Amino acid sequence: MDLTGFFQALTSLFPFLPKIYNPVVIDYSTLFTVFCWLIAASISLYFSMNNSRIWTSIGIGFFLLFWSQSFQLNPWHETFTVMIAIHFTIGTISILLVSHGIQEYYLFTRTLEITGAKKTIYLGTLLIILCSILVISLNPKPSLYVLRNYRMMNNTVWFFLCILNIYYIAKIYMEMKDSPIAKGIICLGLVFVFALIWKGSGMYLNMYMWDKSWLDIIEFTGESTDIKEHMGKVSFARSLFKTFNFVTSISVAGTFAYLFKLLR
Amino acid sequence: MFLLPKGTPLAENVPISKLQLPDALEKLKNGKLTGCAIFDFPAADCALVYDEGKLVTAIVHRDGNEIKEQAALQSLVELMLLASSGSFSVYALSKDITLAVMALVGGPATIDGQEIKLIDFKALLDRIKTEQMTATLKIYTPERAGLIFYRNGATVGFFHDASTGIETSAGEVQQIAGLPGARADLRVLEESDGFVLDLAGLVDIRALWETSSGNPFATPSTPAPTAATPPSEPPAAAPAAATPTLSADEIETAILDLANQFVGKLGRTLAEKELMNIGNVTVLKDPDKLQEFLNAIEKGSKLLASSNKIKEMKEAIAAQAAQL
Repeated sequence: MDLTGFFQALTSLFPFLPKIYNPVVIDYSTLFTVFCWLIAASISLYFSMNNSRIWTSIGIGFFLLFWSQSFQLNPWHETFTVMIAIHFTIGTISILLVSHGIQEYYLFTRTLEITGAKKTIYLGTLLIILCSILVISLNPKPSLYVLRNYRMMNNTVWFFLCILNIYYIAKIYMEMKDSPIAKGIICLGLVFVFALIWKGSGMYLNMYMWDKSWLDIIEFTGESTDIKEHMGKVSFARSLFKTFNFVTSISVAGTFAYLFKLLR
Repeated sequence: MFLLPKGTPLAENVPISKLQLPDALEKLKNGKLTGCAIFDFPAADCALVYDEGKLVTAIVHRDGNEIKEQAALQSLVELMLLASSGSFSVYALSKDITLAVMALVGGPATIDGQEIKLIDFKALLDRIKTEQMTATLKIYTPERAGLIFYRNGATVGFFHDASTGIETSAGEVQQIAGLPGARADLRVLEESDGFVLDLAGLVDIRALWETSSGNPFATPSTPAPTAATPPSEPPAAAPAAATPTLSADEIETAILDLANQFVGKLGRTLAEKELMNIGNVTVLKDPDKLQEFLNAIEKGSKLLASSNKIKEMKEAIAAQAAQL
């Protein structure tokens, strides 16, 4: 889908925006996936505002995940590599927030204590994001190597925190399996199973340097790759990455809609 | 070192100044607690072990001495009234761990202060297994202590002085066993314990409390302790106090059942905890206290049930409290 005209019109409407020189072409599957993340983010953010404080961290975390995914629609991301670094960092912050919320939820099921305020979570998140942006801005413009490192950091942090979250959600479920919301907690656990496969396959490709960003780098440097000898594994990991990116976005939207219904 | 396991906390570090002992014990009984209540005083410690609401063992550690059962309850009343500070915690434990804790608190010592390096550990574990012991093995040094719980010869959990809950691996306790000068106690639950006495049926805590706290209107109906009282019978309370206490108990039970019905098991625990925090169920007569209680329950329930269910529960609880 060619969106060059749309963004050129946008830059003429808002002259402070950088000019668009290259064609902006976004494929439909990317557009649909980001749209699913937008739906998930809207529901989770709305959910976080009208609910218990512990849901705030989880809701904001999933909202930030949309922000990190939206770089695929950002026509300036190739020009301003700093933006991609920020997107990946925000994606990493998102899972930290979600995990924080889930650990607090578990703590609640064990102690029945809820402390803290929503305002602290909102301000704390804002502060962390601003600090990250500041650190990225103060450093040299990220090269393609650096951007790949940011992507790998994001996948790795997500992968291991998903495992931890699945474990905690299982423990939360054991504590509250007779509560009306118990099925919603199982759905939340499924979201992390999907995310684990999504980010795990991404991490796998990064680790063995079969990811697109590495292939883009070596296209210019002339370095060799063993990707052709392992095309079966690479194709499988790539299909898992793509499919479970989509499945995760759908499941987040569905889970929050279901939780919303259960808690209404 | 006096060490008891911590399970799921139902109340933690509640100042004893806020506590009415008879009411608190009634709550543990009505809530059918399986676990233990721990009183921590500056110069003494007390533990009450409950099995499905039945007070099965009581112990007070004071000045290096152990006081047990009815005498421990009497001593607890004195400590509560005389101590200037102290805290109260309640932990729910699994049935298996509770039985092992009963052994720890009230069982005879099969091994008493034996140095670890002199014990044939493999033979000891074989003996626990073959004799199907329900027991607790305490391993300790002057600074550290760890517990291993057994039910019918099988290991059911571990706990040590730095644990926050029952653990499933022996790692830390093994380390304590490896410390120089480590010793071990093995306390075993006696076979004859199939029929367990309810200490609350042997000692009229309310009468004892009111007499000791100098209430001239309290009329203890049974001299405490009264070994002849059947264990399953509730204590005969003073006629003047009997009617309102019973009524409040029924209402409290109904409130807990409502929380369970609308929010589930955690809802019940939440209601128990919030009732404990505000004092006792009779203070719900005060509209402000009732509102405070309902708000506290609502805050926690938001993570467990829908707004509609919470609203219905609050209305039902308010209706129950109106009968006080």
